[in-house]
Amino acid sequence: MLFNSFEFLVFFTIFFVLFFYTKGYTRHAILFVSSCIFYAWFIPKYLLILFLAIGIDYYAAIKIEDATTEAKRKIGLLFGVINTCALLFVFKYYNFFIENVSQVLGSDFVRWDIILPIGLSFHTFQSLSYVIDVYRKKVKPERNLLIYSNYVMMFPQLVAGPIERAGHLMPQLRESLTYRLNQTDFVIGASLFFYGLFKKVVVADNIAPYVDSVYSNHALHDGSTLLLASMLFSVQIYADFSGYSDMAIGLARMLGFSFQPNFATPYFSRSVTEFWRRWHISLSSWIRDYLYYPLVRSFGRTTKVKIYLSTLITFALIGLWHGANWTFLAFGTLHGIYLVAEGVTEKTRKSVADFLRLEKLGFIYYGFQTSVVFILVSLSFVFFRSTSFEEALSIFKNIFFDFSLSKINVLDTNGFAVLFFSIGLLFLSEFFVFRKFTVEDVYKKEHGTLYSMALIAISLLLILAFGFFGGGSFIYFQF
Amino acid sequence: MISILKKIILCLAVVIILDRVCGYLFMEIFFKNTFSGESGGTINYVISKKPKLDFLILGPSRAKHSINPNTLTALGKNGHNLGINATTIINSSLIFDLLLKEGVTTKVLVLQTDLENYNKQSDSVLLDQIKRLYPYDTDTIRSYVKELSFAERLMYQSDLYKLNRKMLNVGFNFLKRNSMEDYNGYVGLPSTQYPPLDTSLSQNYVFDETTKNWEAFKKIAALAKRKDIPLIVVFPPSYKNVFFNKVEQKKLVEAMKKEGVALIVDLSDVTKIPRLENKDLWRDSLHLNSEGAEIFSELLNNELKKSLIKSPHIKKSTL
Repeated sequence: MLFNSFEFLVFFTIFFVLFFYTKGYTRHAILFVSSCIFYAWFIPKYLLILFLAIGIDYYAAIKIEDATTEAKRKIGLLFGVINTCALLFVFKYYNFFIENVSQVLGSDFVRWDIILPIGLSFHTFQSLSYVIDVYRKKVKPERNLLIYSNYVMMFPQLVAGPIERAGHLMPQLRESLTYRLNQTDFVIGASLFFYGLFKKVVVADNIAPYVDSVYSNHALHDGSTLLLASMLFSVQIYADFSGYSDMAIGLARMLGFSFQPNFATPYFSRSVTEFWRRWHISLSSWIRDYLYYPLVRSFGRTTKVKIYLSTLITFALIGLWHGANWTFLAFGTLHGIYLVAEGVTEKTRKSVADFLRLEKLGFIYYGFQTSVVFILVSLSFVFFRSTSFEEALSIFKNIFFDFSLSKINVLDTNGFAVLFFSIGLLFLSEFFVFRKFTVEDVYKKEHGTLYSMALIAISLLLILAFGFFGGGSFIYFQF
Repeated sequence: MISILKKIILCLAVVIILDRVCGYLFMEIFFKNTFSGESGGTINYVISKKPKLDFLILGPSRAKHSINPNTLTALGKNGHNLGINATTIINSSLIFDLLLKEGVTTKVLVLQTDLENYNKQSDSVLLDQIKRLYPYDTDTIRSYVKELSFAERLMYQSDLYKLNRKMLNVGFNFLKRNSMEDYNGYVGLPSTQYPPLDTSLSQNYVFDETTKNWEAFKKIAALAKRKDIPLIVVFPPSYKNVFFNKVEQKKLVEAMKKEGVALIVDLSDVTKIPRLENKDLWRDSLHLNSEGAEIFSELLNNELKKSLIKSPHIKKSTL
């Protein structure tokens, strides 16, 4: 079920009334059943995989807690981690692995005819962090299976995050047994939801037809059109994914849950390093805590070379997390290279900037830096958007060797006008968020309720007037 | 809960009021005074500036870019091409109905259509075709909306939704309204650097009498008959016959004859028109460039001259 569908509106309204009509474990049972219905709306049988993942880590965490020796605790940890990773491997990476092994060995291993369960990478990571945190004694294991199930499969964040940590969400789940409907949470949550819906329907879905059309006929377009489409895809994926995250966070907030923010105006970043602190925060912080830091520590004494190597490995894995394809690996590795390059040239760049007194240029220098970051990120998204490595290389070839602004092709003038208007609206709203004037800040002002309601009304009117309906699913649902 | 419900109702009331006010103002100030552009401007142009026509051409981009009314002297001097890009016969049917309701009269209706319209899969674009004409709000449009999903019917109640994604185009064309000259609707296409593709698109086309598009065709034919307007159907060619399927085309033509069409000018087989086989006359495999369009318009005019003398359906007085 998609957040941007009419079915979801009906589903959520019924759920909302039932959720607040009940209390205690009945409320949790309603949340659980509703999450099952929500997930089964896509492919019902994949609920079993979800239950399996829940069962594995629920059992592993209790085993870790109950273990009397360190060795037994480690066995519990390994049981949870290996089995969860195996689930991810089988459903997401097996075919990719087999194809490449077959190519290398020249033999023909059998591929599995399976569809990737929606949101598998998200809920397995959420589940993994729980087991690891129990092992690290950061959280106590949850012995109530219903509460733990809701931690993993609560529908606002089930299919595309944000990836929540047990330490943050589990206490809220317990508190929600007695939570009373609250006007503040409802209004802030609804504002966030409609702002996210605006991002998805007005911005992302208006851009999608242009990008799809250019990428599906990439051989017919020159570098300028391909670069434009790639830059637009950067905006599309941001509006799509951050729109989804806002909706998820908004829905949860209406129910009294506070999720961690997943985006913080990433395209206002002055470096790629800063970009990753602002982009898909729940994944980048997960990777930092459960992969990058342990990896750096595993190398022994910390040196710059070891940090760079860890960065490259981590980002290659971030790329692979997105999908089992060389294009995603290239996407992640390219970001790793950006970060290493930034690390290596940091002092030189600072010296040049000081010598030329670039900081004094203020807004111009800031604009230059953010533009460079935006172009670098857009180039990396060529890998992300391409269906194959060869397609990505062909697009890069045109961008770098067949570039002429006079050949730029906008395809449909009206569609393009709407598209640029919607991007303008997004930029304006993001600028307010960047200047610390978020949806929550609007509510906290005097007459905040009125302002928040105005925000909802404006979002709805913009959606009606400029939204692209029938845009379909969210990009990150495929991961 | 009650206080939240009150706020939801208040918010919805504000949205409904603003929707009505903004929608009304936009329609009255901008939309009705816009006479160019495919978000309704070209239709408004015919309603306001050309209410009495010798002939009216309806159809998709292949009509708009291939038939020059000035060349069709066989049908009279005062003709207009109201072809609209990426439309199907449903759109043509709704426009024809709308124009007649708005008092537009035409002596002859020239309808450009293709076999592809009556293929089984064609109904999937139904919503898009109807949505294009939402701002006009006629009974026929409403009857089509009734067949759509509940969500669509609900959104149709919004005046701003009826202008969905059209406002910028309309606004831009509104600004141009005073500098506009009279035009006949035909738009010649320039050539491109890419040769037309010759991959056949029509191998699997099957004429299906159960499609909504065929129903729409029948509606046009019936309406034309009722208003005593001779209907001429034109099938243009495609490069290397990529859009041509001989067997199914024949079935379609036979079915159209049964609907009382005054005249069918079937030029869909390009092999019978050697002059148009030259790839330099094509912008792409479906659209002639302006040079090709002039040749096609001349050919069509000659065919009309020849056929009209013989046609029993067209009274001499209408021409």
